[in-house]
Amino acid sequence: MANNNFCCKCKTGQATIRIRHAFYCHDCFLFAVVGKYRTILGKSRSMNRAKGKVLLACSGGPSSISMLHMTKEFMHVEPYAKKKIQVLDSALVCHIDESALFEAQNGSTQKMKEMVEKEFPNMDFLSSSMQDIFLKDFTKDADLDTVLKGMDGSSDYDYLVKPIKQESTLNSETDRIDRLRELFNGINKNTAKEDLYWHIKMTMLVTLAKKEGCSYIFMGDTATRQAIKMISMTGKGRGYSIPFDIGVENDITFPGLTILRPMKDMLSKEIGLYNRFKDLEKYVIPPTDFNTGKPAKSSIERLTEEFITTLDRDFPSTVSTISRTASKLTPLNDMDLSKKCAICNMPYQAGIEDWRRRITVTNVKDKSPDAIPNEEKKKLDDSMIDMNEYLCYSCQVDMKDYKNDTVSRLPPYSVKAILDEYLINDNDEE
Amino acid sequence: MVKLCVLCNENRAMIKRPKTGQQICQQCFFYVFETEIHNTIIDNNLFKRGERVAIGASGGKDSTVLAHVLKTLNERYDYGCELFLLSVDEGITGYRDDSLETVKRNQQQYELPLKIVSYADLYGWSMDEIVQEVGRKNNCTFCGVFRRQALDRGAVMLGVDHIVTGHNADDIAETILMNIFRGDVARLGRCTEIFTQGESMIRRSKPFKYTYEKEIVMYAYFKKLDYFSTECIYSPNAYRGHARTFLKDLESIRPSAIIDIIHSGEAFEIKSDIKMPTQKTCERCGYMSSNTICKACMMLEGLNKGLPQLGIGRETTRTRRQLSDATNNEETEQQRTTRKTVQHFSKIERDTTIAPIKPRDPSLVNTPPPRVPTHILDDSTKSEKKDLSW
Repeated sequence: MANNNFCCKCKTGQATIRIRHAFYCHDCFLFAVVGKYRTILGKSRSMNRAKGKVLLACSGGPSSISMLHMTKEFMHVEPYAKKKIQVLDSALVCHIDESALFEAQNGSTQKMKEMVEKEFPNMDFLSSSMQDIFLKDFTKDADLDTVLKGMDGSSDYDYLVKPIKQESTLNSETDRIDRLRELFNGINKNTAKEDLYWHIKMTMLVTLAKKEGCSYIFMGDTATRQAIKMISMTGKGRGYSIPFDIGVENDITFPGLTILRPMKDMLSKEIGLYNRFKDLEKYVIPPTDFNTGKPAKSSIERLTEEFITTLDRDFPSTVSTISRTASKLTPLNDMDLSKKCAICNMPYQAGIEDWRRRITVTNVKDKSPDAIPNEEKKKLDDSMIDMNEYLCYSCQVDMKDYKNDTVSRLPPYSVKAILDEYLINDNDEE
Repeated sequence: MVKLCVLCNENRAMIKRPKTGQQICQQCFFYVFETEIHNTIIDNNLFKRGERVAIGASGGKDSTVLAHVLKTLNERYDYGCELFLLSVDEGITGYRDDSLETVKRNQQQYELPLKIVSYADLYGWSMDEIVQEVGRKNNCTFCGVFRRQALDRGAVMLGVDHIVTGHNADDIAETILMNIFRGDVARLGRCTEIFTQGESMIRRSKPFKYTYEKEIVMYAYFKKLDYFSTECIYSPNAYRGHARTFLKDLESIRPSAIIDIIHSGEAFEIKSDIKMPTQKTCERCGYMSSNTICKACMMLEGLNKGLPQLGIGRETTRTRRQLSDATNNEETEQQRTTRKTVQHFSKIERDTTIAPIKPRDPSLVNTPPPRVPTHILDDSTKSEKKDLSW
């Protein structure tokens, strides 16, 4: 068909790019991509209400870099374009340095700093390392001397721990790096490692945003990544918090803070082409994490990534259909937002433990046909806490892959959250 | 060192349980398997006293185990239900007529009355004839739509208002994933419900909602239950195959993933401003439908007129195909008469007597050997071929 040669939008330019089933010319493609970014910002409820400072979460990967670039273009208002209202006051680029865990990321902070100074001079730059999660800055009223020790006697449904006072040995940077590495090495499966890694990162971003007085966080998740996360989170049991984890706009879980994902409609192919055309490829730091270079079955996330990208090759509408389905989900009406999971900070359902007891039976003692088999809650020693009561379903499932002593290396914010909730409950019962 | 069962600590461990990875003995396995199903039934109030319940029986492992377990639990815990077996004969030679022999044997083994409804009787078309008309690409749609109505009609004939089917946890997890992939939000919200209640239609429930397929196979193997295990001969390489492979891989990474998916699916809630289909009644046959004419009637009309694509596919492709089919079939149209008018739903009469049906001589029937499960403890020593269809 002769139409293939002409751009489908302007109908005059030579079509050089194919996205999904449509052909675009160079200029129309760029216009369309930037248009998607602007649409999301324009439609955002919170941005229409109040302006504020924006924290740009930048990992150095391709979509973070293009997000920075698009934000810069967006902030720049031509003096003659009176209709363009400058929505973003100021922006702060935030980078979390993971070189303690991944050698390949060494020097990423330095590279990012140079790039921001050169290309994005009106943005500030802030960086933090992952091992800083063990510092007092990331936990309000931190008590670094208390850790949780895993106890024996946990059944399949609970996870018993005991708070112990332990002299804090996290005074130097190397101590903290070691602790971080021990924490992750103490987790057997990659799936649980990735989850913890992601939760720690999110917690750090949220804390930094609040500290710097930002009201928005922009994250660079693309449509492809959103589709992958939708499926992998379903597979991990995070259905309850999916609308918060991957939705375009989340102003509910963190009061005073809105998390936006302006790159949500863009495929990773579009991002790659944008970076090439705008000459940003030299700044891209290839993101390495636990999945890089691993075979497909090493973790749930990696398997899903392999599956979706392969399926998308044969059925190009896969990613957009899954994205659309994800955007139609909404949080449940009776969601209790006051209870948050100690590790991932997302709301969790009540009654999970009971549900699990009925579905997976492990007590074979009551074999008489009259008794309805029921698990008796073990009589807890007063000082022991059942950690599972303060975790969401998928964090509970992840905990099963933790070695016995890894619990004592959990970051202080989790420990504090568990202990605070436990003390509140304890006081209620009196 | 002999390994002891981790649950009772008395007997020798023989099985590694697929759901939890625990190494347990046979008795404990039977106990936990049956108790979990009992818990599901009680927690969701599936049965009422005195209810007449039809078990959708295909002769495969799910329905055979379902019949066995329901009969056992009904007696053990006294649900007070009257159980029946209901089977559908799609008219697929070499597959369905053989699997139905298994159902007839089940009728005698479990002493439950059996009713068989067939497409040929209800609609005037058997699946073999439909596949000849339609080809192999969209035939599954026909079979599925017709079967749903056939089961409900059979239920009215039996006088039951509750059908139980053997959909297991793997099926439901697969359906959730499929609905996400296809963007079918309407079904996504409904597919995790253990109960489906139509207005005047028969209720359906799935007691095996939290039961793993591997455990069903294991149960059937150890209890030496009689079942039929082959795939339908018309089964195509459908989109569902991708979801199935993905699910199996997920299960190999983390065995609890299947239950996790169902847990996620139950927590999904669709935004209220999304347009959803409303339920109406078909003008021709009285069955429930989202449009004025139900899908089954539409497809039957297409078959009878020689336009087999009526009711399948998108609007533009449909009209195109209709026109091309119409021109091809002009000569045969005079010869083709409507085979059978479908009986209106409200006019279905109840069968007052259900005579037992005698099965044929087993030596004349092609019954493939049942699957051998692969999670038995001393598996590693066996090097014979495993069932690779999982």
